[in-house]
Amino acid sequence: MDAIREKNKKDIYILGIETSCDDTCASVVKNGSVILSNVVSSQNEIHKKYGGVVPEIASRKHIEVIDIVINEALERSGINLDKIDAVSVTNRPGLIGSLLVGVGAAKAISYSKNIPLVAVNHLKAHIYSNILKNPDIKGGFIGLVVSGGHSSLYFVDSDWNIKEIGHTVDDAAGEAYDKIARYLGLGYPGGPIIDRLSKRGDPYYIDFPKPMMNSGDFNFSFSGLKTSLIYRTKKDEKLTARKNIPSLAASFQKSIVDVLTEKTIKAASKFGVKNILISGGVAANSKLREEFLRKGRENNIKIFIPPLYLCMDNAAMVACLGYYRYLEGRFDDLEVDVYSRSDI
Amino acid sequence: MNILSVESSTGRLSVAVNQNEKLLSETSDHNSMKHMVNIMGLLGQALSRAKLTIKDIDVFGVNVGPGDFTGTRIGVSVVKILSWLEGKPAFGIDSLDIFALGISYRNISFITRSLKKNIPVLVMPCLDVRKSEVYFAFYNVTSEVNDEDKYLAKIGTGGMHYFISKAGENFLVRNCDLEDLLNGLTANGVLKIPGCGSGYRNPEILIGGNCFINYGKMLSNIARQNKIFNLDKKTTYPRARHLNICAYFNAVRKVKAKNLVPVYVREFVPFGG
Ligand SMILES: [Zn+2]
Repeated sequence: MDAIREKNKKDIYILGIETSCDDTCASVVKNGSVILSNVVSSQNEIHKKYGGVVPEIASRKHIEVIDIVINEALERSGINLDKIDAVSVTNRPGLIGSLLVGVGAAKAISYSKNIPLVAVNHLKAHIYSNILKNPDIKGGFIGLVVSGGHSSLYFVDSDWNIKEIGHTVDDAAGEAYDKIARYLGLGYPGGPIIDRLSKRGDPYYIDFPKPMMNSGDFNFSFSGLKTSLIYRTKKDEKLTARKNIPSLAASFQKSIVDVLTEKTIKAASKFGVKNILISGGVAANSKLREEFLRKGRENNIKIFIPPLYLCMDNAAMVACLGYYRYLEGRFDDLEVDVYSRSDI
Repeated sequence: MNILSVESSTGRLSVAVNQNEKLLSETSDHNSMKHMVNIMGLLGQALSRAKLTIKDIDVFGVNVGPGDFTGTRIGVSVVKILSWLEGKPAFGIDSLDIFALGISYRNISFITRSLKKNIPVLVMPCLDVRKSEVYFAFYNVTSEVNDEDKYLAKIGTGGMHYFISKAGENFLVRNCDLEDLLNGLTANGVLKIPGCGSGYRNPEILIGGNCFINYGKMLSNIARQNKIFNLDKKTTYPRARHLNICAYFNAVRKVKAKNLVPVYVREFVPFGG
């Protein structure tokens, strides 16, 4: 990849578009590493009252603002659409009604401006949120993508082939946070709320199970943990007393963080790599960051975590992945479809 | 004036290019699950058959619904961005308007015969909007219009032309209540549409639209009982060529293009309320 980068002396501008879930995002990135604009139109306030993303509402909102968001990203970047070299868009995995708004827009741009179209995998793009900030990272690392919709582990070899080595068999980590926060009446999204409360709590208050810690593979499961918390709190009402909520939250969070960090470090040692790249909304979790950095030091493994604004869904990571696809000349035609599931 | 419209609100995707009222090309595909895959190909083909490029288009049109949510959004998303990038207006046309044109074109000789005998003619596109409900409206077909700004479109053949104007608001009704409602609206042989003047005496009303797919029997029954109603069983899909006509007359009447968003029959209630 470095060789291809060397050959290309001209500045490359990629327009990224991301609408796979509830955020409408557009971004212009120069040479795969300089973010010229990164616009995120969040629907959080709308979905908040339902305690989670409502797909039908998400799709309706995307289509209202898609042109405004793209225009805003272009204007803030100072780059005219005529100077854009390619348009990169998320086409999988995600909510179909949301994905098709971004992909429809990207196709129209590609057609109207006669520039190449790149359709990318959202999870792969999350991994590239780290490459965006560290373009010198070499292939040969473990990637962990944790968010409200996904918890997946990847092995990226020295030739940048990305292989999924594990995923959640039920709820995603962020989903477990949301469900527990809703159950405890704490609000939405659950991750930041539980993270904040946990800071005042005792993580050893309750010894929750650490699901699939020793499953022998790299899959995750968080549904049982949620069930266990609900079961324990129903049996013993004092656990949900106001003064105990921070410790309950901290114990729950400890369980999730332990499983994620342990299994990811195990994967690194099994595949013999010294770098771990973490991304996705849950990578913004302060306890997860802290634990990863600590365990990384202990095991002599370097941990990469993007800044908070790149952990969340964004189009800069989509543009970054699009940039590397552009350098390789790997484009998609205008017939490209949208898919609810991942297929890396 | 060159017009390009995308019709993607049902299983039949079509793209048409017009020069004013004249159809230059229309491409279509009947594979209901593949709109995202086929839309740009059909659009490119329609343009090349019309020997035009996207830069030659002056006005865009798209069906904004009611219709299939996924299909409608694909069309709206593509046309919204094309209109923005090309700097040309895009008109969102609703399904009932497009059907009103489709029904009128198909039955132009019936319309001519009736109007010659001074019988008022109305077309009534009727949509199956699921949940056992139908959605419809009336459109008056006339040789003249009083209000030059209000008509939807002007259609014509062989020197004759007719104006199509919407009469009243849209109706949303349970399919089992449709017959009673229509009989009530046409009591004593006079069609009285709420908020629409004194009514139409002994009119011919042409029912068409996709409600024939699931409610054909019911509509046949209505027409058998009440002779005011006539059936067009064939116009069951909206077509891009009729969208083009609507979009063209929007431009002719200098209608201001609005932010394109799909329209829905019902308010969306998460988790069924
Ligand atoms: Zn994500």
